[in-house]
Amino acid sequence: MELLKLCGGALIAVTLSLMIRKGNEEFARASSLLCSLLLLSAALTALMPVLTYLREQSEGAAFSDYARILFKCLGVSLLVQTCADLCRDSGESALAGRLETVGKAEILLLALPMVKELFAFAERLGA
Amino acid sequence: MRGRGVRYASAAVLFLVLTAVILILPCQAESDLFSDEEINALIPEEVRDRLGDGYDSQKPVFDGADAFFDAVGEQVSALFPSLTAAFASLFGFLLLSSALSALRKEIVSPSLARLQEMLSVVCLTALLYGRIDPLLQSVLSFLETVTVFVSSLLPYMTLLTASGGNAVTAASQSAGLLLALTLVENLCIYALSPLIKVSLTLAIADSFSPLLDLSPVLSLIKKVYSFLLASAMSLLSIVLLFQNALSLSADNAAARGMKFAGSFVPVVGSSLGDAVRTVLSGLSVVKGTLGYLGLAVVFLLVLPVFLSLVLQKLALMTAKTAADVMGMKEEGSAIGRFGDILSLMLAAVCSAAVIFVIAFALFVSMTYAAA
Amino acid sequence: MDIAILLKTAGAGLLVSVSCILLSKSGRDEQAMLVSLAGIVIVLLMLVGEVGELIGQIKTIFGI
Repeated sequence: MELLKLCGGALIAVTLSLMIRKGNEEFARASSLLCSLLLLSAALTALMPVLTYLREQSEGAAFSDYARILFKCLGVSLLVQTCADLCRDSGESALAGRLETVGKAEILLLALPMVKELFAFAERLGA
Repeated sequence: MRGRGVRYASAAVLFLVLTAVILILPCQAESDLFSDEEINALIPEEVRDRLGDGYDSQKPVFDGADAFFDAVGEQVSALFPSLTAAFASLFGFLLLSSALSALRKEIVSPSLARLQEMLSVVCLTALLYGRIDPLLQSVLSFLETVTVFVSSLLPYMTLLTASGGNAVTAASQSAGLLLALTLVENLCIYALSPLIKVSLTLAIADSFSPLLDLSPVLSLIKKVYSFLLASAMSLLSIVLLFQNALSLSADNAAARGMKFAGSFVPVVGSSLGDAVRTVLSGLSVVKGTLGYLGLAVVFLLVLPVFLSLVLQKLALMTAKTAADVMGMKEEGSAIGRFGDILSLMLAAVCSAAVIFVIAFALFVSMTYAAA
Repeated sequence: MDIAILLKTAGAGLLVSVSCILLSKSGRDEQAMLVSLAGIVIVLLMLVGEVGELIGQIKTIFGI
């Protein structure tokens, strides 16, 4: 049922955008932006049980630190990707590009403790 | 004149034979030759309780095939839980990564996607390294323990060989074993382990970027390593085998000469020969037991290290197949690199163990020339 | 998912465009512009609200 509602909503947004484009272009674009955000939110709500289950399972395992880093980085990249796409849709591709750079920096920052650990391993080998 | 000359000759021969016998006779008390405390002090601690209490110089250490396989089975069942846990966590991580990769496909921008993949491989490398490091430590400690044990057993072996009249064999045996010990220590500990450490570091570095391909360097290191190990071990086994054969024949010639001289002694000649033979059979028992003890200790020392390496390698091979099936090529090749390093460690351990087993087996099978 | 928001946007959009046409036809161009601006502001407010909710959702799911 959720799926039908979502498809119906997308079709409504498309029709609206087509109708209003002539009169009010910004309005049409804003409404399509809103609809895409709503769809993404619905997708995440649907994914929530799966991701929560995966997170709970990996909390108890030996690789919990690494799993936590993986999850966080995935979240960062999804968010950055969404916002960059929205920027691009509105015609600001430069903005989108810089947003992606910020995302990459954030991911590297999150991965830093693990990289430090690996370098410490390698250093101990050489000692 | 002639009768007196013969009498002087036989007296001289008798005197020589008596001196030889007197030198051998103090070793006759076979159970008191090496006290139990001395022998127990030689055995490394981790093996002592596995050998069972009451080291009896009269019976061999492994009662038969059953006791042998019992020891192996005990080791495997002790090691199995920790290794299955290790494999389970590796496999769990692969599953998580493949589940998340479905979401990762959402990321359209190529650099972000590549960063995500690199992150997954780096996490896997850290996980694998945490498993391999304790194995490397156990391999190095095994090599040290085994060299210390054999070098402490060496004087006893030389004493037993020499007191049986095989003087040349004793010298060559101790020389051969010292060569083996030095080679194992210097080669395995000082040359091979840096190679392994370099390979580990390169394997870690290789996972950081899909562009950087260090596999030619890794395969070069592997080739150098196998060449060094193979040539050293074949040299050692040739030296041990031939030295024993040559020196045994030299001792045989000397002993035969002595026996021939002894047979000229009137009246007591044959009983002297019998006395020498009895002493030597007693010595053979002790020699056999000491040799079997050496064999058993080397075997029991190598068994846990060998089994944990083999089981870990099996786990890694299975994980690599799983990763390839799930379509994660980068992770699969990272796992494969660490599997190769495990093979290197396995080769070092097996070579060291085999060389010492050859030396002990030669010692056990050596027959006294004077018998 | 709140399809209500979308329907609200649709209703507001239709209303704004119709009133824009009427007002421009009857010669009040500035009022037409103001009405369309108001419509866009309302939609943008709803958009911002949605974005905030989405970011919160991502935070809880991924644990950032």
